[in-house]
Amino acid sequence: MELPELLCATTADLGARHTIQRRATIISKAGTTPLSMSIAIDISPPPDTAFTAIDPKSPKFDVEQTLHLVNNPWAGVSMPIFIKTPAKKVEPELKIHESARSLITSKVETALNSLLPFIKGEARRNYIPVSKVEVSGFVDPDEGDQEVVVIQWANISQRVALDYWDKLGSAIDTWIEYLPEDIRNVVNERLAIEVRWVIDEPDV
Amino acid sequence: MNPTFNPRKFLDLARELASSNKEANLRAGIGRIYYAIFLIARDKAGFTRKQGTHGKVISAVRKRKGRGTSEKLGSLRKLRVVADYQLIPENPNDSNWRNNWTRADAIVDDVLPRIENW
Repeated sequence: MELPELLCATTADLGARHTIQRRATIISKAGTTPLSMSIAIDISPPPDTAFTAIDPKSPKFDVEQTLHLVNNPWAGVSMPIFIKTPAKKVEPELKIHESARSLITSKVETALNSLLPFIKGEARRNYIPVSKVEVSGFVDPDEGDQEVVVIQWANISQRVALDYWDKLGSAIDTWIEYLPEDIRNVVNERLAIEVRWVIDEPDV
Repeated sequence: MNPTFNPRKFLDLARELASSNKEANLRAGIGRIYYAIFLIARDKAGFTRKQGTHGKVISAVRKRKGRGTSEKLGSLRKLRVVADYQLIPENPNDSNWRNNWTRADAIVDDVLPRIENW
C-alpha cells in the first residue's frame, strides 16, 4: 500500500498479557494539519487473532492514537506502525444568504451549530471535497412551510454526489437520535440538506 | 368514468419541454417533473388529494425511504417554487436554467425507482 505521506513511523512492543497499548504520536510537519488518519498494520496476523484498529470518527482530529490488540499471540514481537495522512485541504467557504437570516431562530441556530460540523465530518469521512457550504431560506408560498437549507457544494460527479447525499442522509438519521428531542424536531421539520455538484452547461 | 391520469406522463412532457433551450420551457419542465414524482409519491404513501400536502408527502418518504431520498425530493420541490415564483432566483446559483434542469432530471432518475418500489 502506497503511503501518501509518512509522518511518523514507530514500533510497538507487545505486552506480556497479550494486549498492547501504544500511543502513536503524530508529528505534523510545520503548518500542516492531519485531516484524517488511519493506522495501517503492516503485519499478517495468525487466523485466530482479533485486531482492533482505531480510526478517528470525530471531526476533531486527535493527534494521538491508541492501538489495541487483543488476544494477540505475538507477545514480544515488535512491529512497525505507519501513520498516513492526506495533504492539507483548504476549509470550505461558508455563506449564509439573507433569505435564511429571518428563519434562523435560536433553536434553529442551535441545530445548525451541531449540524454544520457534523456534515463537515461526514464529507471528510467520505472523501468528498466540499468547496463551499451555503445556508439559505425557503418558504413555500402555497403551503407556508419554512426551511433553512444547508447546501454542500463539491466538485464531484453526479453519481458520486447522489450516492454521497444518500450516505449523508443515513448518517444524519443516526446522529439525530442522540440529539435532545426539541433539536431533533428542528432538524426534521426546519432544516433541509442538499448536496450539489458542479454542472457546467451553458445558460440559456 | 374517465381513466385515472398517469403522472408519469408529466415526466414525458417535462423532458419534451426541456429539449428546448428556452427559459420558460425549462422552468415549466422543472415544474412538471416535480409534480410527476410528487403525485406518484403521494399515491404510494396513501394520501388522498386533500391530505397529501407537499410537506406531508416528503415526511412520509423520509420515514419509508430514508432521509437521502426525501431530501432529494425536497430539493425538487424547492426548485419548482423557484421556477414558478421567482422571476429572478433569490439564490444566484439557481440562475442557470439548463443546470437546474440537468440537476432535476438527474435527481428524478435517481429517486423515482425507489418511490415506485414503495
